[in-house]
Amino acid sequence: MEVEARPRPLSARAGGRRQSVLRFLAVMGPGIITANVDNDAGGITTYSLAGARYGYGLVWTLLPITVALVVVQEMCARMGAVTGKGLADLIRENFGVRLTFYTMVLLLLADLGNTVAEFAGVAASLEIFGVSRYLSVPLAAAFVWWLVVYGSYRRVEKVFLLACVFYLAYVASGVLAQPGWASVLHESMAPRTRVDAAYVTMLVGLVGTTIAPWMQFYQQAAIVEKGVRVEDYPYSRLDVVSGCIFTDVVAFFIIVACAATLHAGGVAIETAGDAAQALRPLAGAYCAGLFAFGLFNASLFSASVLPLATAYSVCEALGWEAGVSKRMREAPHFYALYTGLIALGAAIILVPGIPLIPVMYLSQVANGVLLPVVLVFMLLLINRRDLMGQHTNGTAMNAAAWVTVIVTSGLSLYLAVTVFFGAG
Amino acid sequence: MANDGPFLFYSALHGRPVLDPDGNLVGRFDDLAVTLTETFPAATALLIRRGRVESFRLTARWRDVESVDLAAVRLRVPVERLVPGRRLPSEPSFWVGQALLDRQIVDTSGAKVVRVNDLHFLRVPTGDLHLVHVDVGFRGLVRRLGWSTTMGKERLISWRYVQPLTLAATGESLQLTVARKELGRLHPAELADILSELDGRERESLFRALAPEAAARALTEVEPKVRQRLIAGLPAERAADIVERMPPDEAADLLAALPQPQSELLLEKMERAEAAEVQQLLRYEPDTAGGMMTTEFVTLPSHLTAAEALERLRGLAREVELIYYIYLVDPAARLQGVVTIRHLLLFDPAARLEEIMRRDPVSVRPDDTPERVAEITEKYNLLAVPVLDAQGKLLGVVTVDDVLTHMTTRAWKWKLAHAP
Repeated sequence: MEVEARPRPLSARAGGRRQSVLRFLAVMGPGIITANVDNDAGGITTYSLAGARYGYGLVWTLLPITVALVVVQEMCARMGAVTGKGLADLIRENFGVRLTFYTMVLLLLADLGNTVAEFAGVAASLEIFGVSRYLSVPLAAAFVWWLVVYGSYRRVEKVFLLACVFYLAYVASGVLAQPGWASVLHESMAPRTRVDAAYVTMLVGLVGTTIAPWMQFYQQAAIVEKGVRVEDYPYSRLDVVSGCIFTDVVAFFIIVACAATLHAGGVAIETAGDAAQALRPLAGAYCAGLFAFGLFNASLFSASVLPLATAYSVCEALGWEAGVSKRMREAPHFYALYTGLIALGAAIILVPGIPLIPVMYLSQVANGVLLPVVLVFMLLLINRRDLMGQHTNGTAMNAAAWVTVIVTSGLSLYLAVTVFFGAG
Repeated sequence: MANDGPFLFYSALHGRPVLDPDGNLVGRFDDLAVTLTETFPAATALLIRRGRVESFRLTARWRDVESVDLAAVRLRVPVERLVPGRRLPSEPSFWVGQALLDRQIVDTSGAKVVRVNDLHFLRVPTGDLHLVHVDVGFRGLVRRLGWSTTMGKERLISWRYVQPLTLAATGESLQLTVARKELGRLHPAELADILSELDGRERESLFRALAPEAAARALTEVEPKVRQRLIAGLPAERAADIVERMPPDEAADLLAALPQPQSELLLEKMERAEAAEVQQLLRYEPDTAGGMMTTEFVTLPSHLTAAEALERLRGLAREVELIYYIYLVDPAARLQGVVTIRHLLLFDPAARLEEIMRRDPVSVRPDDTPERVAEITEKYNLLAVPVLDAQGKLLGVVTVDDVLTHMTTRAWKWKLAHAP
C-alpha cells in the first residue's frame, strides 16, 4: 500500500518549530549540492592559484562574488518553484527555437570544457599517488558513467557530499597557518586593487569559476525535480543562500591557506603537489594525500553531476526524452549526449601532448559568452507577470540583478576577448 | 496562388507578408487562432504583426482573409476594417503559436510527453485552413532553425491524438473534447507515468482535462506525493467527485496523507455512503491488514442457488474490484464461508451456495502485519484474504495486488536505502 505514514487523526499537531525544520529538510538539497559541485577541480585550482600568486590581494572579491552568486541562484530557485519548469524549458517556450538551440550549443561546449577540467582533476589527484592518468581517467570515466546509468547514484551522492567535509581541512589549515588576520581583514576591507592584465585575468577567473552557467540550469532543474512548491519556497531559499555562502567560505579559506603558506613561502604552484603544501600546517607530511583525496572527490562528484545536468538541459530544450529512469531505447539522444560528454571529456585528457591550457581556456570562453546570455534570459523571464505572478523581482532585486549581470558579463566578455585574441 | 500543395507548415507561414486588397503591405503573419470544437480545428482569425510592439498588432477575422500561401497572405478588406490588438474571435478559439509552438503536449497515441516543433495545416479548396498535425520530429526542429527541409526524421502526430498542456496562456481552459476522449483510453498506468513526468502547472492542467473516472483511475496509480498535490490543487467539489470514484482503500490512504482540515472538507463533500466507508478505513493503522483492506467486496445470502448467484454477480461486476470470491455472511455479518466463481461455474446451477461453500475460510485480523497477510496469501494461493474482527465479523478484504504493492514498496525502500 502506501509509503507515506498516515498521520493519526487525533494526534496533536507537530509544533511550529519542528514543522519548520522538517519542511526545510524536505526541500533541502539542490542548493547544497550545487554549492559543492561548484567547488570542483577548476574551483580548487583557481582559488589555490589566487592565494599563491596574490596572497590576500584577491580576498576582497569574495564578498561581491557571494552577493552576485546569491542574487543569481536565488532567481533560478524562485523560477523553479513558481513555474515548476526548468530554465532550458522556459527559454525554449519563451524565446523560440533558434536562440534556444545556439544557447544549448554553447552550454554543451562550455560543459565539455568543464568536464575535461574534472577529469584533469582526477588525473592530477591520483598522480600524487603515482597512478598513471592512462589508468585513472578511463576508470573514473567508466565508473561515473556506470554509477549514473546503472548504479546507485542517489546513495553515492551522499558519500560525495560527506567527503566534502574535506573542505574543513582548508579551514583548519588556514587557521593553523596563523595568517595575520589583521592583514587579511585590512586587505579585504581596503583592497589594493591592481590593474595589470594578469591580476585582472585571475579576478575574472575567480568570478567565472564561482558563477558558471551550468549552475543555473542544474539548480533550477533540481528544484523542479524535488517538487518544491511556492509555499515551501522560503525554506528552499534558505538552502540556496546557505549553499552560496558555503561555497565562498570554502573559497575564502582555500585562498587564505594558500596565501599563508605558499605565497608567504614564495612557492609558485606548478603541480598539484605544490598546491597540496597549503594543507601542511594541518596534515604535515600527509598533506599531499589529504589534498589528493579532496581533489579526487570534488572532481568525481562534479564529473557525475555536470554531464548529466547538461544532457538533461539540452534534451529538455530540444524536446527529447531525458532521464536515467528511461531506457536507452526510449531516450537515445539523452544517453548519447551524456555518454559523449564523458567519453570526450576523458579522451581529451589522454591525448598525448595535448595542451590542456588552451582547451580549458576555450571552455572558459564558452562559459564567458554564455553567462551573460543566460543571465539576460533569466532577468527577462523572472519579470514576466504571466509566468511569475506576484513573484517577479522587486525594484531593489532588479537593480541588484542588473548590476550583477552587467559586471559579470563585462568581466566574462573581457576574458573571452583576451583569450580569443591571445592578449594578456 | 502558388503551387505549394494543400499542406502548409506554420513555420513557413510565420513572418510572411500580409497584403491588403490593393497589394499594399499591412504587416506580417504572426499567429493563427483556431476553433476548439472540431476534430481538425479550422482557422478563425489571423494575427498580424507590425513592428515589435504588441499593441500595434491587428487581428483579421478569417472571413476577411482572401488567400494564404507561401508567398503572402491576402486580405479581402482594407486595414481600417481589422481589429486592433490581439483579439480572439467570439467563437471559442485559441492562438496556436502561443499555446502549442515550442510547448509540451501529450501524444495520446504514443502515451508520451513531447515538444512541438512545428504545426501542420491543411488548406481546403473553400479557403479554410485546418490544423491537422503537430510536428515533433527532428526535421521540424531543423526546419525551424532554417537549415534544411529534408534533414532528419519527420514525425507528425494527428491533432486528434494531441492533448495540449497550456491553459494559462489561453485564458480559462483548453478543453478539447476529442483529445479528452483519447486521453480516457490511455491505460491508467500510462496516464500516471505522464502525470509524474510533467511539471507542476502542466500536470495540473492535464489532470483537470480528465473525466472524473479517468482521473480516479490515474490517481490510484501515481505515487503518493504527486497524488496529494494533484488533489490539493483542485477545488473541493471536483476533488471529492474524484476521490469517491477511487477504491475506498486508496481513497483512505490519500485522505490520510492530506492535512486534516482538507481531508475533512473532502469527506464532507463526498457522497455519504462512500465517505462512511472511507472514514471506517481511516481508523486503522496503515501498516496493518486493516489499513490495507478495501471495503468493496461481494457478499450474497447463502440460500441462493449457483445460477442466481451468477446473475447477481453480473449486476455487481461493474462496481466491485474483485469479484472472484463471494463471501457468505450470517445476519450479524459474521463470515460463514466463501464461494469462488469457479465453483459457481463447475457446480450444478441449482445447487445452493451453502452446500458448495468452503466453510471457515482462512482469514486475518485487522491488526495483523502486512508480512502475515503476505504469508497467508502466498501459502494458500489466494487472490484476496478476508479481514475479520474478534467476533468473526467480515470487515473487508485485502487483495493480492495491495499485498504486492506493499511488499514491492518495501523492497524498493530497502533497495533505495541499500543500493540506489
